[in-house]
Amino acid sequence: MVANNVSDKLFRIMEWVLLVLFLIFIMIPFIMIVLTSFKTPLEITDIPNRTLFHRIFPDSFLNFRNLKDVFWGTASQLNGIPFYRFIINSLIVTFFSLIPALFLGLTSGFGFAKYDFPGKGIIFYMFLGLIMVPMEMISIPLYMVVNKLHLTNTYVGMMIPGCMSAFGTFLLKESIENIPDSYMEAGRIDGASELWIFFHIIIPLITGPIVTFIVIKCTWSWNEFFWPMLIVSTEKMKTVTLGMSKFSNDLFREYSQICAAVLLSIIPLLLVFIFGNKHVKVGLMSSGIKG
Amino acid sequence: MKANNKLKLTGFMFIFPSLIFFLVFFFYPLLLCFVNSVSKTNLLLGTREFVGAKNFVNLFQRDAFKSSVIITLRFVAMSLPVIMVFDLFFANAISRLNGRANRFFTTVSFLPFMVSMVCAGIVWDWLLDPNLGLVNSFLHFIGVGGKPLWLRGPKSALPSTLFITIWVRAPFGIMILLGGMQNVPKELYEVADLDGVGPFRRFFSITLPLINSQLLLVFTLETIFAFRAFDQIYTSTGGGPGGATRTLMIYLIKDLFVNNYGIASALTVLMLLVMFIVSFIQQMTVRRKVEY
Repeated sequence: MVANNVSDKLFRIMEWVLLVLFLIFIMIPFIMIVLTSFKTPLEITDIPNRTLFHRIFPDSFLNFRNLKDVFWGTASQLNGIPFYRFIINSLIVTFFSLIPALFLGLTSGFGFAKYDFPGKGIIFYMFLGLIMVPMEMISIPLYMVVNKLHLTNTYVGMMIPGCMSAFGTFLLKESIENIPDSYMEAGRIDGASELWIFFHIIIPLITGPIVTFIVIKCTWSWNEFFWPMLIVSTEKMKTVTLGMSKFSNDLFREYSQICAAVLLSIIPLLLVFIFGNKHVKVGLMSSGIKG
Repeated sequence: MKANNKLKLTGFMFIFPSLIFFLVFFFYPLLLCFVNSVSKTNLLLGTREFVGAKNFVNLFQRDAFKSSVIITLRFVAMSLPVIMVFDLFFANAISRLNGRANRFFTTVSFLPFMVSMVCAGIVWDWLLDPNLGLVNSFLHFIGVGGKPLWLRGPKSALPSTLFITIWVRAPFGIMILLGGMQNVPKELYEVADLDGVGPFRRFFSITLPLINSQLLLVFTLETIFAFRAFDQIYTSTGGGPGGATRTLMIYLIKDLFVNNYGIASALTVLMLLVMFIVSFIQQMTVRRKVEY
């Protein structure tokens, strides 16, 4: 019993040490993004001659040049395309793919949860396959379809794969299934149409899962790299992730500007997260329970 | 009876928009992919002729394909155990914390979820830069010499991409596992504590068996994810140095997609097959567990 207590304590201490290391591991990239974006190019090339403190912290926290250069497009790697252009493109694609995704997720989730009709099982398993098959795999043939429709380098083309999310269908279906059928029956007895029930009874009861879906979907759309990389070649149509990768293709990397760009690209999502933080955690935790 | 039929139709109408979208933009491309894998396709002219298994034969004859298969398998073999142990250990450690500490660590472990693979790849490339990066600066400071090349070294590049992968993927796995651990009845741990059960037995005898459906989900998703690793490698090493990190996806996009659509489709079909088998095995394992 005593020996057990000692080993328990030792384990607890080890666990805490590792948790602190974990904290450092997770936070260091964020901290370095912020600190580096204030550095001048000279400070970075001079790193081998500096002390550890000066390698980490910038000489001045008031050096907003990198952020300005990147934002307005005067940074050399951007070839005059301002970074805010990429941010606007990403905002457009994220927002306008969210609306159809939400619409399709809600309607199909409702249909699967509350109705029975022939072929429902087959359609459901086809949608399930969509989660199993990573988007990248469909991207190559989908490129051909989009190419044929002359939608490369357009917002519509960029939005297409994001317009339907099987994850949304499942998440919303699970939540709608938890609503008792009697709620719907009550509506029907009062003579309400199915559409009225959908909008006035079902949707107000699942606002929590809807927010979860919105936040996760925005994160995915915002961070999508593979699909826009395939279909966008015009500089002006590039999204944030594509704009970022411009910095990484050079042999010589201007790290201070890179970090400024990363910082700019994270800020919009950070705002979404401050609002939806709790919902996302709950959503991800419960997605495992359903899986 | 009539009302019942009407309800059936209504239900179908709710699914109809999704079904159409699915068939046009997901199912049709998938079929197209299978067709293209056995044809010679010219994207510009729009012509297509049947060539049988020629694309597959051609693919298997390429040395770059063979090397990228090996690199991908090595990546899966390296990253999977590391990620699983990492996720499990920290999910367990966080779930044992109470109150404010629990909330704090849950939020922190979750932060990288919002960072794209692209940003993560770029940032870790900066931290691991052999001359200017923070990691080597720190090693220098504590007196460890030798300056590892990390992502720039032919041997160390592939293992180094694990830093990026773990950093970005950990939140996802940890969250799902935490969700499972929250559902383990507290009484079980209390009884175990009374019996003087140590932390290892506690974990292996109580926690692990009760979260195995979440564990399997994370395991499958991470396997598939490691198998198709692309973004973080593309932006940090670009497949280099000297092809040392050229995984199947990098090979598919950088070498095949641009100039050989048929072979690219053949490779896609093969990868789909592997992923399907992995998912299928997972499904079977879950089913069997439920039956017992």
